[in-house]
Amino acid sequence: MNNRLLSNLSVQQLVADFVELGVAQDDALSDRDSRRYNRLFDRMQLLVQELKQRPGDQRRALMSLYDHPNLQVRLKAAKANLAVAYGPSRKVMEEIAECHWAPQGLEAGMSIHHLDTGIYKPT
Amino acid sequence: MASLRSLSTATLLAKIAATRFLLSAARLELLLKANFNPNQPRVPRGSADGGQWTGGSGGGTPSSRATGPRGSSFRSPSIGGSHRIVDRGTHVHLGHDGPAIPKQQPSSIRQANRIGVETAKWMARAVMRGTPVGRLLDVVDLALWLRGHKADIMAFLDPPRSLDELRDRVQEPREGYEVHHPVEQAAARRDGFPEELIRSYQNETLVPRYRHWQVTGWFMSHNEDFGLRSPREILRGLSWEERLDMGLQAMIKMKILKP
Repeated sequence: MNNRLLSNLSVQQLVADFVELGVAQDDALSDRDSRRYNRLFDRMQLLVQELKQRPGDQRRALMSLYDHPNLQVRLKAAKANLAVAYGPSRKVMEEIAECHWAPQGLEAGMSIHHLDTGIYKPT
Repeated sequence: MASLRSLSTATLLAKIAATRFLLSAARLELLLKANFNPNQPRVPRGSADGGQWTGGSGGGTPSSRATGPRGSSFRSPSIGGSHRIVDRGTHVHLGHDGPAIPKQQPSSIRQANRIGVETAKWMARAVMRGTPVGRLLDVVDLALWLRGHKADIMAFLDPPRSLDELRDRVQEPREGYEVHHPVEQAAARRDGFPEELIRSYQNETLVPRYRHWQVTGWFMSHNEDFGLRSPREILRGLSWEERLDMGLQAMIKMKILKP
């Protein structure tokens, strides 16, 4: 994935890039490299914003990743869709929260707690 | 006793043959004690499990014996599928979803730690599915450098404990565990909280090292929950109680602390 203009990419390409970023984030977490993770996170958020502003809000395209083999990809796809498909997205997060051996389990569990206490209000 | 040089060639050859016979007899005796059955069917050569016993009695639990020139498997009846440990020469493979552990120690500490953590995570998944921990520890004997991480791996498998237990255990340091501060020290100092509070009994717990790392990582990572900032950033300026609450919640979700 290079620094192409996001607005020039199709929805399918954006979804593919999202997967690449998710896998790279997982790798950074495994290396305990927070700086690299944060850079990748920021890039992913730009991509999600691009999908959001497409006609009809194309974030739902990421729901195809709800059974992706990588936990990080699934988690980020679910969090990206909380505002547009809360039920199925939360279900994915609840399943991931059971994986307490993984950093994704921790994040999913904390995000659910923040949803329930009103700290986190997805838009 | 006559020296070898003084013996004739024929006598020498006879002695060599006799020694070979005695060695073979001793070997057979050992095999018989181990319930060896030469008629027990074996997996044909050329298959991944070539040379291994396929069933019947003898030799302990047949499926748990590692034999064969390649792809030797430690497969206990209680370990199946994704929890199979396979020795493939240069690497030990942990199931279909676990790491491939090099038998040679990685050149970097970071890589070694990463493998240790991935191994611990794989074991945690296996234990959740009912596999006895003892069988899983075979991997440590196959990749000897991993023994240096055994305490960390075993600690990762700890069940959650009460807050009092975690606090009390600070007085008994042990391998595989680290002191964790639910309210992060550096951030608390920056915001002017007193050292006596930061280093108090209330704020020190002894937790499994690998789980400690994951909690710390979460605090440092950007997060959608907080407007794309990290938990560490948004806690700045907040009260001790708010920081402690978040710190304890993270320990609960990481299954370090009982709810």
